[in-house]
Amino acid sequence: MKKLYFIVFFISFHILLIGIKINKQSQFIKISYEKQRLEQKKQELFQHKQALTNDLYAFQNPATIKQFAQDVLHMEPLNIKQVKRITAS
Amino acid sequence: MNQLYKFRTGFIFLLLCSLFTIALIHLFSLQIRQHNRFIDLAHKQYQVSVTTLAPRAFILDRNNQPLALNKDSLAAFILPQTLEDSEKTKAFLKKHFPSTLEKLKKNPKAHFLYVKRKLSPEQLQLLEESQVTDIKILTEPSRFYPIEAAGSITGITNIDNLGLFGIELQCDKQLAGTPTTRILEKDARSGHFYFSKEITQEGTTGTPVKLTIDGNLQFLVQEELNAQIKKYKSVEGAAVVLDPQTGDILAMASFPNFNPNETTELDLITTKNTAITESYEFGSAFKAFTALAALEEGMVTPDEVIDCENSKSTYVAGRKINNFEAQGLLTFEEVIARSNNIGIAKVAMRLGPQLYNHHIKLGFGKKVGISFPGEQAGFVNPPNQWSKHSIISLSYGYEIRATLLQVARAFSIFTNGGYLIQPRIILEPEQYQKKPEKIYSDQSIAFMRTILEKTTSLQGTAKYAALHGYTTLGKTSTANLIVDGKYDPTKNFYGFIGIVEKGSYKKVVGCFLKESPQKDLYAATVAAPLFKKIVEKLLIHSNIIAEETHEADHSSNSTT
Repeated sequence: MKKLYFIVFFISFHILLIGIKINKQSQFIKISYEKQRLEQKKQELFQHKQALTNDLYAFQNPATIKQFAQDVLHMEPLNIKQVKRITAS
Repeated sequence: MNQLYKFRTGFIFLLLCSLFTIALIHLFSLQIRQHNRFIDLAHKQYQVSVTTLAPRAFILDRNNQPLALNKDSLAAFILPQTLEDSEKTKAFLKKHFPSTLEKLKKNPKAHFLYVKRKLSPEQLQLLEESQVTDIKILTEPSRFYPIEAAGSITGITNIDNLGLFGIELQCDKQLAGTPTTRILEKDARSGHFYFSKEITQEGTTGTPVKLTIDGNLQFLVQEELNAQIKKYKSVEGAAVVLDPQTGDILAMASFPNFNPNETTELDLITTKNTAITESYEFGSAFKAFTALAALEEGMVTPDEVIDCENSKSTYVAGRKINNFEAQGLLTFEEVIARSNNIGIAKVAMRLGPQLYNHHIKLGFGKKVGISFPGEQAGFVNPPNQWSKHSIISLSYGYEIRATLLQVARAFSIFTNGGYLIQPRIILEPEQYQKKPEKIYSDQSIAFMRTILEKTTSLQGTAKYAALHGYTTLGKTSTANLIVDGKYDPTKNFYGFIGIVEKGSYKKVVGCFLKESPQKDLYAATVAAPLFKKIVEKLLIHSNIIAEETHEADHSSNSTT
């Protein structure tokens, strides 16, 4: 009887160990997948940030600013004669 | 019976021993002899080696404004070994990308083939609408240049994002960094899940390059140059703004120029940085250096009267010299201010071969040392190759070739106390800066400053360069260009090299235009006004505004 209990216990213990190992492996795969997904997302966000940065600097381009100032705001180029520094003395 | 039993057991024992021996030999072969081969095979199944390039570092201007950024470009490709609908794909390629189809025909066993790299939005739309599933898209790193006017300085990268010319080429290693190689573990089935990462080769990220260029000023200078080129229908031109104390190149514009963001059809001639990569005979601007040499050597004094023969054309030492107007007796100051060829030739003859030494001392005939790709050294004719007329030609800027940057650098000595500065385009820590060498005496420089100020006065040749409320010094340069080995009087070079000062604010501005179909033009009417326009923009940009005081109204050189 004791021998039978031992065999049942032995087999059950090993099945439990195998189960734990499988669970560990599946958790590992799941986390790896999640990590990979987040890395991909990070890459996408980085690309998006890069595109927005490029847009920002494209809008800050003096040629774009000049065109906007002349076409939309109807401004004219400044001549140095029009600029004067007035001193208090 | 007993004997048979012994034979049988012996035979089985030997058989088993043989089998075990074979198994052991096989195991030895697999586990020890072919160990590396099977390890490699196993690694190939669940490991993948990935090499990633670090993002290319930015190029910044002196105010940390980016001149070159990164962006992703799209590339279309096919996998010829796994085409799902070969006929449809080939038909599409034949119609829209025939060169790719040719490549496919030449290389049908290729595993990977680019259809088109750096896809334009129209090409991308075409591919999306075509619904050819065999053509796939991938992203590749490329560059974006926010200030297009700086294209001839920054240069561009090639299709593999490696520097092609300009700063991109000069600092390619610094900008690119080194790639990182990683070993990733994947599942053998899908190849998607990365269980672990192991870095086998650690890369380094690129280091940004900070230039001395001011991006906004570069745009302003380029605009003015373009406008003047358009006005006179010139074929080529350049302008440079230089800090005469630090040697910083603040702006360097060229024409023809190009848009670095539109490089699908690039004309190589437009990619030149003309201020550095082209050398010319500058003509009259060199009178300033001849005069300086003569003053330094004590061959002449500013008030010495020189007989300029009162003729538009005369012979000096057997050489015919032309002048734009007849002038009689002129002081040496007036000879320079009124750009008289006869007067300067007579003074240069007193100098003789010493003039060559002065040209070398001023840095002509060798590169200025900014290491820019394609930089020219120019040419100074050495005395042992002189003809009997060379000294006359050299006195007013012929038989000597220089780049605009070389001339602007040499001109800096008139505003920094006679020091030959080292121009630079990359901002480096101060300790790397070479200490400038004083090459001319204060007295000679002071004489020359007086003379060059007169050049921009009402009596001088460069009155159109004068600016109310500021000190301007300068020299015009009208020179004939060589066509088919001869000087062509119909094809001219119009240049102006000048200095603008306001208190401690000092800048050297050089500009030139090459050729114009219009007749009777001189540098005084073509290049001097360009200098003035650039200086106006420079002063407004630098917030150097003349004070509206009683003194300021009278201290100006002239009005325009």
